[in-house]
Amino acid sequence: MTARGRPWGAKAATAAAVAWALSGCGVGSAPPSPAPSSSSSSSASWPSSSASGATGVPGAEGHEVVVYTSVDQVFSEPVLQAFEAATGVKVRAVYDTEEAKSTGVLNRLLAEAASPRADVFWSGDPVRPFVLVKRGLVAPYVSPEAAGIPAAFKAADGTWTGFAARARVLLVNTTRVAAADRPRSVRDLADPRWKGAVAVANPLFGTTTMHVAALVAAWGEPAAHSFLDALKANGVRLATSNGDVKRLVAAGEVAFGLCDTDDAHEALADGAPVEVVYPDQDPPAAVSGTTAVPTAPLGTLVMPTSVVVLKGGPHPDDARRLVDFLLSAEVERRLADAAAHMPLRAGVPSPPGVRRAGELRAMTVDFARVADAMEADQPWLREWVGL
Amino acid sequence: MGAHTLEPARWWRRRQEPLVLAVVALLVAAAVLVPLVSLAAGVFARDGAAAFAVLGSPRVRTLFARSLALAAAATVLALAAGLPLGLWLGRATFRGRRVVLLVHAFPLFLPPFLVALGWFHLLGRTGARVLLFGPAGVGAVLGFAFAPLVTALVALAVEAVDPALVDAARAVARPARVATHVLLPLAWPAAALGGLVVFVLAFSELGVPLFLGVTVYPAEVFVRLAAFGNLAEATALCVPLVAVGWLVLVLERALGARPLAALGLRSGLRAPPPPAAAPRGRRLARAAALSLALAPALLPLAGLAWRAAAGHAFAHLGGRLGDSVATSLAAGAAGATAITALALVLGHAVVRRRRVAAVADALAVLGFVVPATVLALGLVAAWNRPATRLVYGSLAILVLGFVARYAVVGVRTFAVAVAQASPHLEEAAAAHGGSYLQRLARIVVPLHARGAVAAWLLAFLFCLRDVETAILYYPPGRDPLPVRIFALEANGGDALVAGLSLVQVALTAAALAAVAALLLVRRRHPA
Amino acid sequence: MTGIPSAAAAAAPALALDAVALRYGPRDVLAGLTLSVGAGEVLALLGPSGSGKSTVVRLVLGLAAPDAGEVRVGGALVSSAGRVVVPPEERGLGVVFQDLALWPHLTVRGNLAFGLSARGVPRHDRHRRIDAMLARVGLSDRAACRPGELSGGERQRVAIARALVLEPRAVLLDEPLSSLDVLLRRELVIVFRALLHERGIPALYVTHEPREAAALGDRIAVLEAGRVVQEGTLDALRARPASPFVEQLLADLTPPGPAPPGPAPPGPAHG
Repeated sequence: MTARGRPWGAKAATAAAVAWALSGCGVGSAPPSPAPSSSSSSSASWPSSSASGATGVPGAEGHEVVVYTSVDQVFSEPVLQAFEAATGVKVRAVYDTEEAKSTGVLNRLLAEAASPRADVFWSGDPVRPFVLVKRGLVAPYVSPEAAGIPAAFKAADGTWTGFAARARVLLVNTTRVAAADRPRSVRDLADPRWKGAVAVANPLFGTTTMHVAALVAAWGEPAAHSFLDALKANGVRLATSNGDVKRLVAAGEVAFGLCDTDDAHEALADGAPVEVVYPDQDPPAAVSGTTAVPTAPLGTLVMPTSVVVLKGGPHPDDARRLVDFLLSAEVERRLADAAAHMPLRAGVPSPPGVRRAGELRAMTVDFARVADAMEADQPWLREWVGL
Repeated sequence: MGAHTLEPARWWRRRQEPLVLAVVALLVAAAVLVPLVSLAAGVFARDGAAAFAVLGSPRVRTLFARSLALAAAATVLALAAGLPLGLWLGRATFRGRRVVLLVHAFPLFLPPFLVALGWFHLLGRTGARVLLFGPAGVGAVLGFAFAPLVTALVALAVEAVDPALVDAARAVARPARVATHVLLPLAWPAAALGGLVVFVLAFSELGVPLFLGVTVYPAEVFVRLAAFGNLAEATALCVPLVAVGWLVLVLERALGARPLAALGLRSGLRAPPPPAAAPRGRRLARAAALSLALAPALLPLAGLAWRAAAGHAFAHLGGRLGDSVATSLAAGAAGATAITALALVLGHAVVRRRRVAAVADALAVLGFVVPATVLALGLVAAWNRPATRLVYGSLAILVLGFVARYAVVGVRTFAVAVAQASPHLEEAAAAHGGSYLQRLARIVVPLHARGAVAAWLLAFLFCLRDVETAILYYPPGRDPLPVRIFALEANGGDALVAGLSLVQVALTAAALAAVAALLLVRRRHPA
Repeated sequence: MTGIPSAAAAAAPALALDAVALRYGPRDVLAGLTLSVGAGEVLALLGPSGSGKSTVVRLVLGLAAPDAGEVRVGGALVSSAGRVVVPPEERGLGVVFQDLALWPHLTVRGNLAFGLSARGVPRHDRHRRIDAMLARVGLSDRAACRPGELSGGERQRVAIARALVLEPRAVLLDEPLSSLDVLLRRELVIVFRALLHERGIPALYVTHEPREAAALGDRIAVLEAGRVVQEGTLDALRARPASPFVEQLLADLTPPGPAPPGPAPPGPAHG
């Protein structure tokens, strides 16, 4: 970063992060930001361990931290690079791929549980860390940086802490759906008038798994399952990923579909003829649902990214330093800017087109229960998908 | 006679070959068998045979049938394009035909999903949706990407045909008839072998179907593992894959064809025919053939280049490469070096029909045909222990995986080189007093130095394009470039991914240029 | 470095095959072949293609083991049924193959040096012997050339020089001249003959050419279908051919006297 090479005495990672956020280093994907000055971008490109010794950060020589993350590499990597630049601690990361989203690194963490390799798991959703929590693989850590985060999005004992969030939204193709016909609820996916014209991602993967589990936790299993069966009867297109849902909607192959705020943001940035609907904001009366589904006000599902420290990891001290850094306001701001994430802190502005968590009727979620539902429901879901 | 009381020096001289062979065979066995056995042991200890029930599910059967159909389609396309091109390139005499063959073969050395990505950008979103996404697109991308295998094998087979044979046929028949009635039957085993390899590669391909939204059988295996962590079911699902691989091997032997990795080497070892001016009337035909050979290679690259340039990706690339280029090069070079070291001993011993070598060679083949995911998980199961932390947490685990998976490439390449030369060369060395190691070091290896370099480069190219093995266990912060591209592909932004892909293309091109230099340069020792 | 005690070699024949048999698939390649090469003797093994000549060379070199019978070098057992007792590199032999098998990556000097260094001859000694040998075959100015840069006749001389510089217990020559034209062959027959006789190195000269056999061999052994059908001097063979086959084989040879292919074989003939 621009800080590299200057005598940076401060240990405060957050201070460095301010400089980093203001410098505009790091590459966001969409929209392509104007190129940063070549010197700053090239200094950011090679955060090698040899360079870390030259940053002048005291006590950091030879330090490293191993992080596994299911946050998209394109967004998480610049953040980790900034941490390296600020602290001189070398970050060794393992990233998830879209196809195994949120599950690949998790399974790797489980496979390596006997001999932990990772210090930190930075999860793209708040639920999968519970798999680790339940197996006793997590070392609680209450970060001082977590103070500003609402209690609903963190554990008081520090087993997990959430920050920059995404929400589940309906992406609507405006050329296929007239303004008056816009869907307002996830239940509209099962509305027969949209038969064969809606899409969801495979619920065995990614955030869709969590969404289904949240519905199971909110509605109870029978109601949730009958909703899914109604979806199937409605000829829902099963996309390979949320990105695929975005593609289908943007191309007008379906009228609307369920995806994440960052996918929606990308479609908007691409100039696709789409509109974002935050579902289930209305009072129950306005909802046109099937009789089988309860019509209580549901709210939009908000999913913070979350971070846990792993028990027995090789670098516990640097792990805590990294967690402090990730939970800083500046990282949340950065994820809001670059990845259209929804800030959870009051003081961080939200990106254009993305609503603030505080401005939404958010689904009330007990993430531990959702995690249980997610595991318990998997056999039924596999059958539903036809696996 | 004193044969039973040998002094130590002579005892060692006599046992050099069996001892060295045993060590090398053990290394190959350790690389390939240890992971597979660890995996199988773990799976069966926990889940028993119950997992095999999954093989009966209708979805699994449907996917298996779909994968077979897709692979068959890709094979037919590869043969349709590669066979005529091979017949033409094998007989063509124009200057630069080797360059054409190399450029034509280029996509073979890229991760196939990169080629798919190139087509995607070339066709644009709308065009891609119509032409690319779906089973037909998968078949077409893979067919064109793998066609050079058929082209190269057929071209080499045709080159090897005695010119007198063709001249004799030309005396009584027109060129077209010579091609169909003389060359085609002679080239058929090579074409069939090419078809088999294309089938195997297409059948086990993961990245392209995933990218193009087609669920296939290997993806199912990957999903069982990655999403469900269900090792037992994934292992059970691998059984049919291994069976298909085995069938192909049996067919390979039945064809009596040359080893799989013979590509390019043979042609390099014989002098090219003198260039001759083509008759005017055939210029059009040549232009058509040239475009068929070059377009499937160059168009996807153009797509990538266009997308990267349009998105001004190059300014941002540095920050996004991380250590991946260094990792790719270091792990690839170390892997290729280890593979070549094994190949010098094994490739030679395979040709000399040593029994131990045949076993080790079969193990190396096993490492190649067993699905990458299985091998990768086996490596995790075998090496992720406190005692082997140094291996598992460092580049060594990448190198180990490369050796397990691609040793066969080096072994077969060097074996082809050794098989080219008269066995008398080594027998004379033995008769004149050279011990095994003296023969190996001073006769066999220097004699086949080009073969050894070719083995290194081919192994390096295979390590360089690997995604599917390394993705499951790369050490933290040590993701090779193709893994990084694969991980960024979904959300990384088109231009950035295209730019990174071009870096991969450049690395591959540089390695291939070295191969080209090796093959194009005149033989130093005309025999 | 050789695996054969030299004391045993003194009285025994240089090479001896005793009732050697070898099958290849359903076919008897050798069926009870017995022959021996005495000290300082050149034995020509004459037979049509497919009679098993090259197999004899491979057995003597230790590149293959017989199914039955024994092979001895200087009296020492080197191969017995199904077993190579002494490996090729310890037999102390020299060989010239039909394709010469000159190592293309080594210079002429390098070709000659390989066997010497493999057998542990010290460097200065090695160079002295190589220089002398190259001078003897008229190739002193070609020492730095690679085989690819030599003419056909020169390569032939490198091959024989490479075998003889080792001062081997015996030398095996497997159709070494068959790829040359008539004139060159005639010239080289004289060269070979002189080289072998002046050094007294025992030799097994394998050929399908009766003229070469007659010109080079002190004795001739006629091989037919894996078996020696007759053995003796040219005169003896011609006087009493053992079979119509032997008679036919030798029919083309002009009667003894001023023989064009080379000086008529003097006969240190013994039985």
